[in-house]
Amino acid sequence: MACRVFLVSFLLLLAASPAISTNSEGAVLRALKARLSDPSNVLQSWDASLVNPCTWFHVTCDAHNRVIRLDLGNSNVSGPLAPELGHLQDLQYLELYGNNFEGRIPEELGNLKSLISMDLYGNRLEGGIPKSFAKLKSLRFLRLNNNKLSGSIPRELVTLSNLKIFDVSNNDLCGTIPIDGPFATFPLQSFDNNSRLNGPELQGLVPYDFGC
Amino acid sequence: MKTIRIQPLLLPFLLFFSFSFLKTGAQTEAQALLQWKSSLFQPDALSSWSLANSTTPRTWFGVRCNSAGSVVQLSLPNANLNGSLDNLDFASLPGLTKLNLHYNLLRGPIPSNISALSKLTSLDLSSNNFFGYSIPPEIGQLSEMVDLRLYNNNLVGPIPYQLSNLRKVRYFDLGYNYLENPDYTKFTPLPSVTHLSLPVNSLTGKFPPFILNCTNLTYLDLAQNNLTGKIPNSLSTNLVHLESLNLTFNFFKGVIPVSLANLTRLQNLHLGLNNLTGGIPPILGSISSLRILELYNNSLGGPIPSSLGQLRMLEHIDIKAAELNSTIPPELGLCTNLNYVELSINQLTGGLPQSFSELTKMSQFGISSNLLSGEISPDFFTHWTELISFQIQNNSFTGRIPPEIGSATKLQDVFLFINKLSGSIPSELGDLAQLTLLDLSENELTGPISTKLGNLKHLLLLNFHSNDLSGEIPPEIGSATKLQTLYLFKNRLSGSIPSELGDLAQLTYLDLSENKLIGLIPTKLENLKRLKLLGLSSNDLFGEIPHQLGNLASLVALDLGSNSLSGPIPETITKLAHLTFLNLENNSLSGMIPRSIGSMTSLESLHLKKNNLTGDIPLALKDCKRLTVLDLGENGFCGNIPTWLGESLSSLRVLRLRSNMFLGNIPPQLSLLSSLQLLDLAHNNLSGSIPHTLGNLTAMATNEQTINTKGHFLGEELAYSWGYTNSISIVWKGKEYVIQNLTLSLMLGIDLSSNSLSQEIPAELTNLLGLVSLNLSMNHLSGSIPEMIGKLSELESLDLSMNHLSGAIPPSLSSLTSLSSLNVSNNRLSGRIPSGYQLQTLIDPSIYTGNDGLCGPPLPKCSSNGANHVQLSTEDGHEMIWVYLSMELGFVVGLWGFFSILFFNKSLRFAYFRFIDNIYDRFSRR
Repeated sequence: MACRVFLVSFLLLLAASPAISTNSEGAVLRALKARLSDPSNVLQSWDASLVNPCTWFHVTCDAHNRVIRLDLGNSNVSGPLAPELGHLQDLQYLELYGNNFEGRIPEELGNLKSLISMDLYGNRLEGGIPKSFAKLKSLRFLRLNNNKLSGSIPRELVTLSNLKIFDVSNNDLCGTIPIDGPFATFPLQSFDNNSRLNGPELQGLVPYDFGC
Repeated sequence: MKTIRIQPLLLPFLLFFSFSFLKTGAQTEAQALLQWKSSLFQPDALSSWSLANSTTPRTWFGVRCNSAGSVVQLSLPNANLNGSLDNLDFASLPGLTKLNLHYNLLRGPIPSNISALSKLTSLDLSSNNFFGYSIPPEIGQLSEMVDLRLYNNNLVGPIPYQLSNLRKVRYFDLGYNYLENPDYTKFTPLPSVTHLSLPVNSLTGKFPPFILNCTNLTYLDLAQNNLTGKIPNSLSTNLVHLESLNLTFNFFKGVIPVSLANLTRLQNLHLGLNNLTGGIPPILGSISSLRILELYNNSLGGPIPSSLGQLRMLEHIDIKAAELNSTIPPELGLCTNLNYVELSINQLTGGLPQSFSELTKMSQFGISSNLLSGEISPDFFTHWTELISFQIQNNSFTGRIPPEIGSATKLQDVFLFINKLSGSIPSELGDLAQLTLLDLSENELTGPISTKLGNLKHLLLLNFHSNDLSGEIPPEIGSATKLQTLYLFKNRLSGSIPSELGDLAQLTYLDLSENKLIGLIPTKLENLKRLKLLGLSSNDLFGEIPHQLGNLASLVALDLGSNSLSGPIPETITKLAHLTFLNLENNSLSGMIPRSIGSMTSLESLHLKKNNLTGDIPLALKDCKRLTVLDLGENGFCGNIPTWLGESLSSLRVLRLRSNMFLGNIPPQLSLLSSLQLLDLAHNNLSGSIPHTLGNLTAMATNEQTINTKGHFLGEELAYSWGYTNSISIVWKGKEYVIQNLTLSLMLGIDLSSNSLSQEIPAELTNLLGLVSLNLSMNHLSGSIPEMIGKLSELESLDLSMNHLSGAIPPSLSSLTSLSSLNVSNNRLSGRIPSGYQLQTLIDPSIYTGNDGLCGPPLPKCSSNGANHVQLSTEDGHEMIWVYLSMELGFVVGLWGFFSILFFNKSLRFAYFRFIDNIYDRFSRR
């Protein structure tokens, strides 16, 4: 009960604590918050003085106090995606849809080796889909639709054998649609409204990314 | 005051009297002085002023006359003169050269006829109170004036430009008033002034231009005005005689001019509390006469220049909070006159230079809140024999506390807290007879606490918390009789609590929590009549709570939680009228809550969870009207939840009755608790329906989270200075957490799980828009899930499992975009599981199982879903159907465009047909 809040001491405790990984997960999330504008105060509960972020709203931990979910769908936040998010080793659900996230999708998100679902749809993200996503071997749902993404769909994603849902509609992608691996099963609607994205790729004599 | 009123009558009479009969000036002057005396209130200091003593004022106190008998000086500083200057007839004192009324109680205006004192060379009216009046411009006519002091008078208005006519004035002090800018267009430079002092006034705008031409200035003080702009370069080129420059606490911006190095006579440079940037100019090291250098609270940035080591006269350096980010240059060790070093709150790195041991005059040394590391040299303490204050807290210093610290025998304040110091606490600290404040908390110190610390007869604060100290608390501590604060919490101290602590009559804060202390709580602690905080939680204390604790009449917080205390809660504790925070949770206390608890009218937090307490909630509790937290969870309480609880305890924010044997209905009156944020009645025997009125719980009915952050649960002092705060266990997303502070103030939740509640879930619960957590599982609830459940937009955790709920899951559930934990299993729900948003991420089928009628992902597909020839086993089946529909339809539609390309590109044509083959293969393989 005698829980003491000596703010200055927190950083030192952080360094000394055996549960350093949990604390650093809090630091990762604070790095995200630090760059965001949050007019609806949805991140208000992110109290930096806590030992772990497991009681922060919109964050869910597993039994070992490791962050497994980040749920910020339709939260009216804006700003860039922090590359630090890539350090959440146990994250399974990254639900950031329906906000005003802008800028590029950080390469580092490819390090989220436990990720099952990444929902970044309905933001203002631009730049390419990181090739590093090919490392997300657990990924089953990847929804990047309704952004301003450009470039081609990385061919490397065909190795994501668990991918069940893939949606990149309403972006500015170009090139051709892969057909190998899980891409054999995705409906064309998942690729709609990318004015420079051409029909399923043609194997053989043509370069994969013609027109891009 | 009456005397002032008769003045108009008296004056003509006196004038007539003087001109007609008394020819000498001396007699006129005597009359003028007596007239003033008579206007003052009880002028005891002027008892010698009487015509009965002498017809001339020559011998009167404070009066000096020339050989002709005429008054030339009136000097009455600090004479307790109470009145005004209105009745001092300056015209009758034409020979006055010096008037000193410093530090009296004079009010009203400075009369404009002061201009009659045409020979006046020195005027000191400082430290009176001419509140609300301006400086009369007529002072500017006193052309002989050399020394003018009007400071500390609450004078208002602009400085009269006429004062610039004082061509002979050398000492000019108008500080500590509310004076505003003079008319600079008419304010000419004062050619003779050497001392110009205008601090703590209301000057605005740029650096006053006339000052830059007062070329004889040696002393300039403009501190604490509202001056802006840059420090002008011409300051250092024109005012070359400056010895002291004080611009503290203004809004000067830009860089520190390198031209300041021209001021070769400068001894005192005060530039703190401005908006200066651009680093410390290394050339300041060339001002060899400098004794005081203050640059604190600026955004300077950059390094401490090693050139400052050339300042061999330097005694006092203060560059606190200036965003400095270098190492501390060893060259500073050459400034052997330094006795005051303040470099706290920067980003300084590296260690303390060994050369600092040469600073043998060091008295106050402060480098706290930096990033400094390394060990503390023992030489500092053996060489710094004048050391009074040593403050190096909040850095990363390592190694031992040198035992040589015992050599610095004048030490009063030792602040080493928040570092990485290890080893034991040197017993030599007990030799520092003057020691007042000793704070070694939050380090890695080991070993025992020295018995010699009991020798410290001046010690007020002993703070060793959050270390790794072991051994017993020495009984000798009881001899440090001035001790007010004793913080030893978060260590590994063992043994029992010495009863000698009861000798510390001044002790106000005693916290020994989170150690390995055993035994009984000493009854002798009852002598601590000033004690406000007694923290003994998280030890292995056993036995009963001594009834003598009821004598600690000043107690505000009593924390005995998480021990092995047994027996009843002593009734005497309820005598503690100031007690705000009472934590007895997690012990083995038995019996009932004392019926006298109603006398604790200050009580805000009552934590009794996890004991063996029995009985009902006593009626007397309704007099504890300030209660914000009532936690009776995990006990053997029984009976009904009283209806008065909702009616009387209107400040309640947390009501936790979890895991007891309460029975009966949930009283609808709970809805009157307009501040209630957490309602946890889980694991009881409650029956009946959930009251519809719970939908009226005001604090939960808003999703404007900002509203709930106002004010913490405990008073400021308790929460911040003492570090005490409410901690509440909640079940959150299927796991138990302890929340406090910000999280507690934001959390809105209802847990009614594991009771025997029946009937429908009231639709009114969906009015509680701020709810973050709702658990109604393991009851007998029937009917359907409220259609409007989607209104609870903040909901993150929803558990409705193990009830008898029927019907379909409302589609609005999919609009809960914060939902991350859901369980509706083991009900009688039916129909298709809604999809979208969060629901498509909640893919564990077990949250829906045990509902025979539910279908769709993540459960198997709905049988009513029409003809669907492809059998799919994946949990995402319905989405897979899409694939085939679109493969078939999509291509047909898009075919035309594609062929048009093929006609024009030969190689594409080849490729395309390979692609078609591929597709064909894929279909046939299925």
